[in-house]
Amino acid sequence: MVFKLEEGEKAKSAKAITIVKAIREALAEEMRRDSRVVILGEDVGKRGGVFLATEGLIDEFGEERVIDTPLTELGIIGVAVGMALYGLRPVAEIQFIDFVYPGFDQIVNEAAKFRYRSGGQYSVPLVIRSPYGGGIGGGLYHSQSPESYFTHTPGLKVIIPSTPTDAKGLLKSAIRDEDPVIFLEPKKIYMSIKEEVPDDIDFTIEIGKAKKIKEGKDVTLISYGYMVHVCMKAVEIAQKEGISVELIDLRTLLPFDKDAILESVAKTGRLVIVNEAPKIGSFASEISAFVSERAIEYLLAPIKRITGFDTPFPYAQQKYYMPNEYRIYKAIKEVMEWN
Amino acid sequence: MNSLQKSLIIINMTEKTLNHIRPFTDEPIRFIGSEGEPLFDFKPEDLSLNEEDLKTLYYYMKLTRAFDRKGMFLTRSGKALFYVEVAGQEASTVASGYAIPENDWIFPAHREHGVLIVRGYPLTEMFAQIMGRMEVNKARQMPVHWGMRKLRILTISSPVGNQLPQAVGIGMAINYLKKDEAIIVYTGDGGSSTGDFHSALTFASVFKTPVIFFVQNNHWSISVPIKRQYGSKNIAIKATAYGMEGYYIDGNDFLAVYATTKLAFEKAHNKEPVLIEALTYRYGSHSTADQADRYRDIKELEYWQKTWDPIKRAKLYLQGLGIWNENWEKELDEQIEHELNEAIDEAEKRPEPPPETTLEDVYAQMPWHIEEQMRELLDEIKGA
Ligand SMILES: Cc1ncc(C[n+]2csc(CCOP(=O)(O)OP(=O)(O)O)c2C)c(N)n1
Ligand SMILES: [Mg+2]
Repeated sequence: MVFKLEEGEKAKSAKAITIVKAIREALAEEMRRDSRVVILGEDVGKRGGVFLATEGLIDEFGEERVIDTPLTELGIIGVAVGMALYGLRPVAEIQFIDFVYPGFDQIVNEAAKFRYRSGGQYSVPLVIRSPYGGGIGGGLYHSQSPESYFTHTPGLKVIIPSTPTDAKGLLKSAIRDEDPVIFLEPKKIYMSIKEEVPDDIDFTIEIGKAKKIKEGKDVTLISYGYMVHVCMKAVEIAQKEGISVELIDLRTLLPFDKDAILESVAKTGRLVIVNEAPKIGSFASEISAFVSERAIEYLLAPIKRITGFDTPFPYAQQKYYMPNEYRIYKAIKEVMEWN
Repeated sequence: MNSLQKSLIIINMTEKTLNHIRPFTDEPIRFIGSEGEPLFDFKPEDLSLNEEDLKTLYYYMKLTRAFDRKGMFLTRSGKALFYVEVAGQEASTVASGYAIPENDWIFPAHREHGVLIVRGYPLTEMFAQIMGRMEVNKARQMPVHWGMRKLRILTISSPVGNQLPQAVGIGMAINYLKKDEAIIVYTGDGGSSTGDFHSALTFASVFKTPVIFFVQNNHWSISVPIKRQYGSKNIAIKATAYGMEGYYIDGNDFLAVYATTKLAFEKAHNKEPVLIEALTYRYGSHSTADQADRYRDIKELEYWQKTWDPIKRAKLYLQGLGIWNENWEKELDEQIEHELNEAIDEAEKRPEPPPETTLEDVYAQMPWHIEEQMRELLDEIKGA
């Protein structure tokens, strides 16, 4: 199977790198810094991962630290939990998040609960990183956005970056974190966005902090992952129509940045949340509920969620399924015009 | 020098013993018969056991059975809400536990009380856990979910089998850090059917991890008999498919269990993972939430109790050696009763876990949303 990833616009700087490259840099830097960091997964060795996120790492760190595994996600995650229990800092790659479910028990019952169930005697400093999301013609099983399964699990942290810089800084933080982190990478934009990324070995981005992409005063638009970029287009359309939208990239879903959300909503009084995952039980729903509980007095209009449909992710119908800038703009307009 | 020769030197078991411990036998490996009689010409020294060891093993098996009675009593008297009996499996747990080197790791399942007791898990801690009192794991789990890092015992969870790949991961970490350590991980006949079992053995054989898989085949998985767990002739033979050695042993023969586990540790330290299937029998119901008479013929239980009881057989063996007498047995019983009662008294004096423990230890650092929930809980308690 070959996936065609969109090539990015001509980078402005020669030093600009893609999200995949930023991830590779984060891994390499952390492996150089800390010999406890090891990588394991399918095809992560000589192949460098099917998206090349681990390309070349086996040459620098050897097959003791870049471990091609048998094809069993429950095995990969199960042994990674064991490695972490013993004191290593494993980074397990799940080739596509759609294939994580055989290892779900190891994540939800084991990685997430070990600290709690052992009264703090044991911990599982594990990162599970995996490409997620649609837009690459992956159909039902190479497109999913299952983040809510993980945000519903106390004990996990869940991170979804949308830029090369965030991917690098947050992955480095995730590897240094004492707790298990689910790190989902928007594969649609693996190669299509380039920017210069800090190469200071101690460059990290704090987990749990959102990023304001654009200041605005009329509507708050909250998203994460690839959808942030679709939101940007919607923000531009809105701007042309005279609507000033504040765009927030959550970056960390669990624990999410409550202050960034509340401050923005208190200012704009209107909220649209966008995610690619199906609507019911989505993370957009969590943010919606949170704002309804905490900031209803500021709201001038109902909260809107723009999400994928409550269907499996389709192949030929991908263009209908994925939220687009027009859908998002329509929601922005609706909350502006509501009274 | 091959690995077995190296083993010989380290574990001090004689050729005679080692010749008796063969992988993939048709009959379970057995040192003593149902009357405790040696089945071939060997001395305890051939297993590198002395009189003191034998008496200690016997004491721990009796202690484990008596512990069980206390566990059941605490449940019946309402001081514990649940208990899992280990009766019938004392040799399998105690003698395997006795073979575990001090620096090596243990990942139990839910029916390994004897392993923990031999390891030196304080009885007070065990009872406190059962009664939901403050203990090292902060009493967050149902009874019998023990674990103690200080003793290199992993804290277990309830899902059957999912400790198996984790133990292999610990083995991989041991290899990576070049430590001379190994881990023994336990499961049951039911556990041997899980995907985790297959994944774990696959990883163990591919990466040559220092792991011993110890399956207590007690013939039942709640109400499901072993003929519904595997179509192979036994569980040990499955090791063949993974290029590992599988030992099929009489789990109610404390000498067979001890010697095989000891050998397995030698192999594990030489990076040869091993599968042991210990045939044994669960005397009680699956747990206090189960009634075995709904599905199990009492005759089967009586047969096992009468013929293969591990403590009876050990006692007859000690008698044969002339190191058992009525007086000593009485002393042991009194000592055990005293120890257990004292531990229970101590455990009952332990406080219940304070309300804060409901919300602590989810993360290394408490995030804002749990902090908020902590304040809500504490306010609620203050208000009440
Ligand atoms: C994955 C999973 N499925 C079902 C259960 C419920 N359950 C608890 S113990 C058990 C039977 C286990 O049998 P076995 O592995 O033979 O161990 P034994 O109880 O006989 O010691 C079952 C079905 C569980 N805890 N986990
Ligand atoms: Mg069983």
